[in-house]
Amino acid sequence: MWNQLLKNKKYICLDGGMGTMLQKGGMPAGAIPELYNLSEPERLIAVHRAYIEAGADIIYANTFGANRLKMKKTGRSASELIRAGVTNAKKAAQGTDTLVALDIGPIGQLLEPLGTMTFEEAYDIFKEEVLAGAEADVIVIETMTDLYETKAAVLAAKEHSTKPVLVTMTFEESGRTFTGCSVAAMALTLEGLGADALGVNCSLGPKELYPVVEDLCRWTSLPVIVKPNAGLPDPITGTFSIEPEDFAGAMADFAALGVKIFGGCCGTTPEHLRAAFARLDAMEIPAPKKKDIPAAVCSATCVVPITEPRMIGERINPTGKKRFQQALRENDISYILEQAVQQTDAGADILDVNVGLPGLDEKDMMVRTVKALQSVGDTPLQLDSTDPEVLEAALRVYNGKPIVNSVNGEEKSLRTILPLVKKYGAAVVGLTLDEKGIPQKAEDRLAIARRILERAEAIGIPKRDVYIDCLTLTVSAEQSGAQETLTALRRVKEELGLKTVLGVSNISFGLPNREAVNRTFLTMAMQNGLDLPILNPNIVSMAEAVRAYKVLTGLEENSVGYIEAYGAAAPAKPAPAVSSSEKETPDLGYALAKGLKEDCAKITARLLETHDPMTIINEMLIPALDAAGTQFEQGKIFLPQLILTAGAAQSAFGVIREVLSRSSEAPVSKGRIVLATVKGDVHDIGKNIVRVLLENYGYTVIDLGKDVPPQKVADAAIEHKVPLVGLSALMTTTLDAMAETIRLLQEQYPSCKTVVGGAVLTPEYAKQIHADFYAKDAKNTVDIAKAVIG
Amino acid sequence: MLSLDLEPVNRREALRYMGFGQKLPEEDFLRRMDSLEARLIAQVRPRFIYRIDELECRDGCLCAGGLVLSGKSAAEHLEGCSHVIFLAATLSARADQLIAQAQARDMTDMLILDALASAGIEQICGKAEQQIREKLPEKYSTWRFSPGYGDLPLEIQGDLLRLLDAPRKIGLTVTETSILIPRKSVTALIGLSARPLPKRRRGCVSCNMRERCTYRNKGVHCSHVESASEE
Repeated sequence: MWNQLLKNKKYICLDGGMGTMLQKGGMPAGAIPELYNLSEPERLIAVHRAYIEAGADIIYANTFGANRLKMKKTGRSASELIRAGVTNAKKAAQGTDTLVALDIGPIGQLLEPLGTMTFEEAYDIFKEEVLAGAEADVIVIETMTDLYETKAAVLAAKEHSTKPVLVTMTFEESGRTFTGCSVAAMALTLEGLGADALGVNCSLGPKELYPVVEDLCRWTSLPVIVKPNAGLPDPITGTFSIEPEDFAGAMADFAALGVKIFGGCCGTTPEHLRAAFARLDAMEIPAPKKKDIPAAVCSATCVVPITEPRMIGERINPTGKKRFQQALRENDISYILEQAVQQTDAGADILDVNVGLPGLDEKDMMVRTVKALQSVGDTPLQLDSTDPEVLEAALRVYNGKPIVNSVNGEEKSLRTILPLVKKYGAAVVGLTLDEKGIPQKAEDRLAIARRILERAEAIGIPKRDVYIDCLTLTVSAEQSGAQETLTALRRVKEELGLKTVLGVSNISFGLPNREAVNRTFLTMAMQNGLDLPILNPNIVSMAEAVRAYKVLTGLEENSVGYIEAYGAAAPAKPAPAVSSSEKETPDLGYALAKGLKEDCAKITARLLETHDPMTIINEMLIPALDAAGTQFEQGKIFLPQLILTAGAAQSAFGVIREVLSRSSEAPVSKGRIVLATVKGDVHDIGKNIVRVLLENYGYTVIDLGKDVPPQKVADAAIEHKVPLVGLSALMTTTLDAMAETIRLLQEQYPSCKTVVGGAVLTPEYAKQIHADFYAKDAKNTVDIAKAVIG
Repeated sequence: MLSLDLEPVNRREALRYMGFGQKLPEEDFLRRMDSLEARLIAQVRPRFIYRIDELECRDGCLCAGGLVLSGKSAAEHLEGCSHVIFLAATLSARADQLIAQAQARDMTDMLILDALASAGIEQICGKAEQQIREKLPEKYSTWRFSPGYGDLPLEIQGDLLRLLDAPRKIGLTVTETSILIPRKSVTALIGLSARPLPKRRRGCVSCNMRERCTYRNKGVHCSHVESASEE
């Protein structure tokens, strides 16, 4: 039915505002309109009929807010309200060709990382709605502002129905949603996930929406939907200002842009739509143009078009890195985040994420890593695993359009990986190897690339989303190999017209001065058409080569990026630690007191040449920390200054750990402590400060993050056999969760001590909920840890 | 929905949130605050929304806009008022994102941004209130009173946001545990009256920092007292 509509109709008509019509009929503000589905069906049917008479091809059932959470206090289940809503719409449409849409709106709570709702919970709520709306003809997901939530809804719709899925999000004049999602990110992600039409609704009037829709038309090949408000509401009366004739005029402008599907949102009435449809009937609507959408990947807030060489950072990978392996074994997510931040600051456009380590639950680690990375940055990710199950889990929870690393020419790989890439709308790296290994000749690698492309296109993966890796071989092993790789790369680019990707660091294995070989090879590869070098961006000369290449090839207009990175007038990096140039060789104590991170790391590295690590820790670092702690207690310095010192000490410890892990000496740890912000609470600043201080004093912290369920705390405490658990809460409303966590711990792991902290806590309350210790601040927690663990 | 620009925040207020007393931090710390403040100002998109409802007494309970304002504190605050302004304001999700990003780079930056953003949302509320009052020149008003102050339950956040259509209009939501998300957000009640209102002092009970105030924890006061109304 939907396909016929698309094919046969010059344009498709949706309905207008439902809330507006109900309010006109006397519905009070703050009322829950979905309850009318059962209590006043006739009223709803009348509104639906008015829109059908105005010409709507699709009407939205009154189910926008009918989800489990919003309906909780109404005494009615979401499912029964949805079924009634769809039934009412069906009744109204009886005897006409009008289709009925199940209308799914936002849940009303923000998802992780901003909020506490998990992606999985959101998916489950939407799934319930999709199943309850089984009688509808199409599914509409509308008024969305969070791409992550939208993805959960689209996945639920696609996995639990075969209906067409129409998605509209709500943008501000800036071209972004409240959570920062851009039009391009929406289009890239949702078209990839299999939405059948995309567009915008609500928030703005048609005039303000024009540039947003113009942008959307550039980024999607799907039919575009526009469902604007009747102008901007008056801030005092809440009434909308645009008359039907002006509304119709604006809709005609959208039609000229190539928009196919039209309707109205808040403030619009059947009159608005009637006028719009009359206008559209009378005009000639241009046939949709074939679009040239650029190859691109994205997170919700950052789009990276592959229109020039883009650096993929390779550092989130345990292969050959002892310190990284140790971090994975210790669940040290903050170390992984550090790797991400460093690479992003060094210029990485995309980050490769590989957390595979024998003996470790890679799937669980991958999901947690992807979620953690999404919470601190917006650099798009390349999901790197050999296990399809790990890839699928990562693809589900990724917020945006990622790259999958990788598929290859082997039948098994093509059969398992490509369907995942298609389902989740990712881009994919295709390795030019197959059952017979890596072909020696460029020609044979080209043939594999062609096969991968054909198989991808056969299941509907667009050509622009296939990136071919012609594979770098070690030049010291076979000198002609480098040329063969470059030839293959050039031919893939020229003959197949595909984007190319290449890990460059392998080339120099076994040679001295590897950096020179890597950098030169990188430059040669870019000259031969490399789009996505996988490299270590922290090595200055590698990032320099990419930036310089863009200048020399004119890819970067006026050398903007190059000058920004290296120019004398370059703005200072965000809040850099002030360098200690006034002091030639500052001692560790000075650098610590001033919070000079880089100096601390350098001095520590130098000290390690002549001193035993434990001497540095016990005779230099700890006394400096103690001194700062004492000053803090005496009120001579304040928390931010204490943290400055703690942060600098952390960089010194980082150097020591790196050295120790390389020499495979046992890492210095005084013992393990589990930390968590309790269930329902999202305030984790205090907990994070405690973590830094504890780590400074040599404790290994297993940081479970914020909003942590009681059982998860108990499980972690038992699994890691910790003698002490620290819990924080900042709201009176979450103290119950703290009490519950302590209760569980004492029941399941009675030998474990608990320390609690957070602004709303008092020593009395701590005692009341049977906590063993109350910590008044972060410093105090360290004292307690010393008393418990030593 | 109305948007506002964040301007340089009250520096003393931000320092106070970080626990600094009379003694100011060193010059390089202040410079660091400058650069972080510039980033905050450039990136957040503050917004607010409000509505005005008549106060009524239903079955002995104070109500407005279909919302029950239970407890003594709200009644005292709104005494002598005929109407109430329901206000919701947010510094936007971007503020949360900036703080989270800083956390992975530098804890000190995170602390500073958090304090600047707390001062920032206060500034936005002040500006919002001023804009609303300019539209009601003949009215006298109380100061901002938020859910969770005194015995006005925090749990009304959800209904209050729904009344304002805040999730849709300004992207402000609330968790099951009544925490506003984005975090740097405020909801408040402002009483309106045609007659002058008695001046009341704002105490700790009506301060947004009351639950994590370092002064209050030590049993002292920041001596930050605002008068009830400018009129």
